[in-house]
Amino acid sequence: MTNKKNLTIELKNFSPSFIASREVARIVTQKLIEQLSHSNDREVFLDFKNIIFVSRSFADEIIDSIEMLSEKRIRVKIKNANLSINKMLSLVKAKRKKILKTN
Amino acid sequence: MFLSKEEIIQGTKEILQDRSFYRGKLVFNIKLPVEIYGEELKEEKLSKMIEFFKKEYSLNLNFIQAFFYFISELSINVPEHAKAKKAFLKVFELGNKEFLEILIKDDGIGIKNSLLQNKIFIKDDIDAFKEVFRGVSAKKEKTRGFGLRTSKDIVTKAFGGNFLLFSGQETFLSEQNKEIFRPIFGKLKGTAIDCLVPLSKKKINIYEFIE
Repeated sequence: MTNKKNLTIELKNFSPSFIASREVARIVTQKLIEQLSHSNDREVFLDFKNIIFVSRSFADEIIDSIEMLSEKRIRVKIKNANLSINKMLSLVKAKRKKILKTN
Repeated sequence: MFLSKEEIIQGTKEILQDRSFYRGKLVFNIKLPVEIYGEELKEEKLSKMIEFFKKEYSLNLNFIQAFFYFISELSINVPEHAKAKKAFLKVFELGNKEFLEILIKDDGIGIKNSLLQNKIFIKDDIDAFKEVFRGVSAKKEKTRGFGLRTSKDIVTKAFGGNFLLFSGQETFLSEQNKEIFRPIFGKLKGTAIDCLVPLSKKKINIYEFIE
């Protein structure tokens, strides 16, 4: 799940190839925080290898976590995300920005 | 698939009995988790279903992703909103592998009560349906509330299918160019959503419907 070079969380260890729920994002975030607490790293990789698709709910929740960690100056980098996952993450990010602007 | 008033009444009776609205053949049936932190991840169950349909109907990845998108969004609503004791997902086949009908049903508090419990004041079931399709969520966070509306659009516009919502004393039907409300003639405890999708090989782009 982690290696010595970079702190990496592999999503395939938490879910089958299609991720639906916010629950998975929350479990991944917990793990991420746990790993960070044992290290001095300020950068962590979220590895989507073997993940085919993520739901909007999952994308929203994981972006929420990424933004929360960013406020604590921890950078989460996305790795091995396919086109559809990148599209979903971008769509949700854009919507969140739009909502924040209108508020 | 255009539905007459009689077909809607008959189909609704079937839904109240946990059966196919269109009298399709049951091909898949699973219990859905009713709690957010249930014993089994929804992903495990949904993945089993995806594997089954991929093999049985030779579906392409594009179709599978669209199919998974609306099923996952709709089944997630159960633990997040319904306060149900029981919920299931049934899939029926219609014609000679021409259509799949997906029925997701729970015995929870229904859409109107879910909104009321979160201090979103609405007068009746129709009002509640309109609110959720407007993107109003029973959850507090403002970035949420798009699952039902997006799923409806994917089923009707991307797949060209039918989307039916049953809750309390009302039915909502959405076809490609038509949206109507009909009374249930009885009362449904909880919520049921019935989606009819044609099994075509056409390319489905869900991203133009996701908000």
